[in-house]
Amino acid sequence: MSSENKEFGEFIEFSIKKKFGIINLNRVHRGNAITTEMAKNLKKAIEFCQSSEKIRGIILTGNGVSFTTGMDINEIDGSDKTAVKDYEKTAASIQELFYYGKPVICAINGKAMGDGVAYTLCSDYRIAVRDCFFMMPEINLGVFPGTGIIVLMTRVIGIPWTKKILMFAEKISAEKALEIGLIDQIVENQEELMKVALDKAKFLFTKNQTVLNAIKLCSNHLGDKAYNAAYELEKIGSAWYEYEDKEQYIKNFRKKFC
Amino acid sequence: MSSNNLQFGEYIDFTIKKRFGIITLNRLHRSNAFDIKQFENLKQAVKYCQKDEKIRGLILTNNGTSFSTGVDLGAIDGSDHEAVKYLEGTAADICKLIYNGKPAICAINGRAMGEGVVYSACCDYRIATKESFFQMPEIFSGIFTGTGCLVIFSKILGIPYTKKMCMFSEKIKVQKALKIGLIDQIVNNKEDLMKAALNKAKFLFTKNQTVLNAIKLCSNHLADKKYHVAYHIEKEASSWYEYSDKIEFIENFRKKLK
Repeated sequence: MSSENKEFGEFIEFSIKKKFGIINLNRVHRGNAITTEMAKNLKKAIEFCQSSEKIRGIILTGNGVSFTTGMDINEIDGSDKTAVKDYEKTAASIQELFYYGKPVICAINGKAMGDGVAYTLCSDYRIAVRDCFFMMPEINLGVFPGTGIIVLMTRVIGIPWTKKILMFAEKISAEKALEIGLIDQIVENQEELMKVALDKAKFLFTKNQTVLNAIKLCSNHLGDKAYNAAYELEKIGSAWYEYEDKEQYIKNFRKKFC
Repeated sequence: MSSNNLQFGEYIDFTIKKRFGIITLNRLHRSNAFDIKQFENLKQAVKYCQKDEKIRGLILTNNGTSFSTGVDLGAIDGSDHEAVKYLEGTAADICKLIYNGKPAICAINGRAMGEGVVYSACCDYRIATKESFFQMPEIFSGIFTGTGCLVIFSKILGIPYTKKMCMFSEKIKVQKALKIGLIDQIVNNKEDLMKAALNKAKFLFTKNQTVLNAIKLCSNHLADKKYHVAYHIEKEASSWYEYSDKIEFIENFRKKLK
């Protein structure tokens, strides 16, 4: 079930297991820091998973001891505003694809910084090795972390932790991350990490996919709607079985939240 | 102060204590699972408490060792879409009545599944005995949890725990439930449970009811509004004493939050 490894460039490995597309960040010599080219390939890999009917979700993980350290600042000239914008736009659209798309499991194999934290936030189940940590160092460089991360952070971990992480660049240990809802589970090592991720994938791919995707959409998008409006949207979700074409139903339901 | 026990059907006991309507789920042979008739009766009982001027709030509790196991799948034909829709609509109406209505205390003795979890989530103070647990098993049957559940969970528990409960069907024990904000207090046994519930009812019924209901409405409905909109709504509530008819003030304020 493994697909051509170079399909999405030299720094992204891709395979399919348990009907989940497994995306492996593999730029180990730079702590899996992401270049513009790599971000574009990551986006392509995710788009592939979203459009392939055989794939029911995504596992995002990394090789080496870093999950990702975020944008590779050595690869981008900070004074080239167009280049910076291009990267940030790609990074932001990856998060949007995750947040609206099929179920995503994030298997965090080591430190997560910048976009590494962002991708953790927009996944549906986040497993991390015990010795990893999370940090947003952007404020030290005077960079605004505007790649869709603040919108996610305020929703997923709330206002006080968003500020501690973004305004004060607090380093968050795996234990603390579990406590504040940034991750869902801690494992002892990388072998266990992939085992748990695949177990969770197995749990999901064996369930009713229409129901699962509708639950994901509601979980992500009802919290920011007024109660009565959200209540009506959930009721639309609950009539999923009346639609002949379930794929079309999910597509239409997704549009209601755009 | 006790009312006719069969007023709301054979499976719901109803009494009044401390000016709170006490609704006791009592369908023990089916672990307090709901059939359509029982949903209708529960809705009637909740509505009765909302309307009666002598009643200042409600306590929802159970007989036996299950709070409720949710919809009684044995009592409904899943292929009868109209019946399912009516049942889900009635279940959802109950959530809305509790969420928008007078103060509600939930006293949970034993397992809470499906609607049992949903009703505890939408109450204002939730007390559970130490052996209780919470679980949403719907995903195993391919059922979408669309009875006003996801809207409440995403607001009360936040996105990560909504997903853990509804996408992954995680079983939540009382200690965990307390930590994530699904309940507010753990007690040792059923006697302590009713004692604690009645104490809380006493605290509430002796307070200014206009202020109390305005606080409840603001607590439930301000977080999902834009800051400056929410700010003005709160300001409006703070001039409650200027209204001569306090009941009408609360009714109008409630409408504003819709």
